[in-house]
Amino acid sequence: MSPYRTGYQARFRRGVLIVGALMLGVLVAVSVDVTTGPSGMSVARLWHILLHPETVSPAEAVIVWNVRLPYALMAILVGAALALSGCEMQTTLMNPLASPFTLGVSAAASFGAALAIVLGLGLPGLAQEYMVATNAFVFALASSCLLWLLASWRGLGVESLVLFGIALVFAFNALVALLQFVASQDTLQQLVFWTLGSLGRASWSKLAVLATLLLASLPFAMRRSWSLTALTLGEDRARSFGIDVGHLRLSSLVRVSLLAGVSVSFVGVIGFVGLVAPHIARLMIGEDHRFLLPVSALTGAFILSLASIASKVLISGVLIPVGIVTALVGIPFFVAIVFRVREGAA
Amino acid sequence: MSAHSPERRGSRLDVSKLSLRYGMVQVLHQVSLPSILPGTVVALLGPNAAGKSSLLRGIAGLSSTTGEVCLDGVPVGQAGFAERARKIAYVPQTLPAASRLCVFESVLSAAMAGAGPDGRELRVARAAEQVEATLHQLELMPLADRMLAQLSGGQRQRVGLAQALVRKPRVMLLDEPTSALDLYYQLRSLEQVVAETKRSGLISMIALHDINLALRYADTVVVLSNGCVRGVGCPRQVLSPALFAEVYGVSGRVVEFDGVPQAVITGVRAIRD
Repeated sequence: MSPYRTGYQARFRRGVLIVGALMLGVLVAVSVDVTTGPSGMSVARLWHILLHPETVSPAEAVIVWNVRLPYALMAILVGAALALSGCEMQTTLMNPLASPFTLGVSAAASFGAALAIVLGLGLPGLAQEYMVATNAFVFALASSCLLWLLASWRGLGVESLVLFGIALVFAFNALVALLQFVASQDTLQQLVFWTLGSLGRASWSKLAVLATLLLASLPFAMRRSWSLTALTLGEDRARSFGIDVGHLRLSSLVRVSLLAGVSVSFVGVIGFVGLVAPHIARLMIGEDHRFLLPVSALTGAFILSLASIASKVLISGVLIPVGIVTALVGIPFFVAIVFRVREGAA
Repeated sequence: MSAHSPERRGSRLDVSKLSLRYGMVQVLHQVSLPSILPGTVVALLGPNAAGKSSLLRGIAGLSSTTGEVCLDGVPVGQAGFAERARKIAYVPQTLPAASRLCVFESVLSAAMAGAGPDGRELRVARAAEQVEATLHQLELMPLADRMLAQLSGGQRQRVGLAQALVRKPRVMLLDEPTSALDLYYQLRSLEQVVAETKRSGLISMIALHDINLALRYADTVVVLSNGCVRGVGCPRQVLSPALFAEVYGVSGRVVEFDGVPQAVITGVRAIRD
């Protein structure tokens, strides 16, 4: 075997190794996440509660099954969903700064939620408890459609899309601020709490929805992994390989708006994971999307799981909304990425 | 290895009445070419904005045109975009982006892209063999594990050629494939294209600015000006002093120097409109 094939195979093995290591990391982080909380718990005790539920006190079982476990699992599912969305957006829109957060999908979802919370506006025939999530989802979907229309509009380069996305962020934030202004004391508190982004809203039914969606969309993304890889060589070149770039963008934006929209509607705005995790994955694995997609998702899961732990331990006894933690931790990462992009362009 | 054994896969290419407009600007006016036979190297010449790139993009199906492009008498539009791109490989003038892919992966993605999902793992292994053979053929093996982002423009342009060759097309459309290359690789790359064209019975259509490269390597030249064909045929006959004057606005003629035909340009005649 020639050294060149060996080089490629070494990269392949490295990819498998990184996927394995990240899976282990996520498992460890989730265990720590579940055992962290106001009432301490050892990992051994956790396994005992999980494996022998009949032998433990009802209080302990409730803490693990109804509070800690949904919270910890929501962190990894939302992290994976946002990171996978960010990765696909960055590739298909050919922009390193694209993510559900920076391109306004999250801001649109906030506005949808605000409409439901403050004005009680929503799709007819829905119970109040589902209205917030449904509204958030519908607006996230609509903003993605708007992005796609612009991406496929001839003459408007994908570079302009980020500018448009930033405009969307400001526009929706202004609309949310307007609703906050007219909101009553009670609904205002509810709205502010919603927009902060918290894993506390996790439930088993929400976990099931998000897990199903994630498991259903990952194979579709993986099927297009070669096309996504080829797209990193340039749009013209990808088209010359027979890739229908417009269709690729559309199908990936459908996945993105489903994943990001559902995530945001369940837990509120959690920024930066969708932007930062794919970049860390790219640094580890390169642009081969067969690995980049799963590694991005796992990295996102790992980061949000760590953020979830941090949100419990940063101020003891206080559960900080995880959206605040990711934004604070995300900013230094964001600055570092901007510098890297500038160096790459020079 | 498959790429080293002669593998004839040629088809006859017919282009008739191809027209293309971008908005209000008509860039190709009913361009028809005589049948191009397998194993032919066609050089596409003409001044800036003559329609060279547009003709290549039109044949590749990347720009919507009226008129007909046929392979062996069958219109290529019928089979769908992905199938057309399997038969007709277009190499854009822009270089492959400086991405975080190694050369091997980038050529592998070209071989895999646009293919169906069936039997994927088996196909990856086979495609990897073809990638290796193509990199051998183009003397790119020493760069196989380098990132595209670490390569020079010229090296990336040669990788771009590998990305087209690995797809084993019947027609290769190359838009200024030597624009970023030094003197040695201008000649070497075109020699490799000519060799592959003859060996596999392809058709290569190459848009060029350098008339000497066309004289050296092309079997046929097509001269375009303002979206119309101004001359087709044997390079030495088509490139007459009259054509230099009318199309390029220069005084020039083709002479033989040490057995190699050379264009000698003696001056600018008039400002072109």
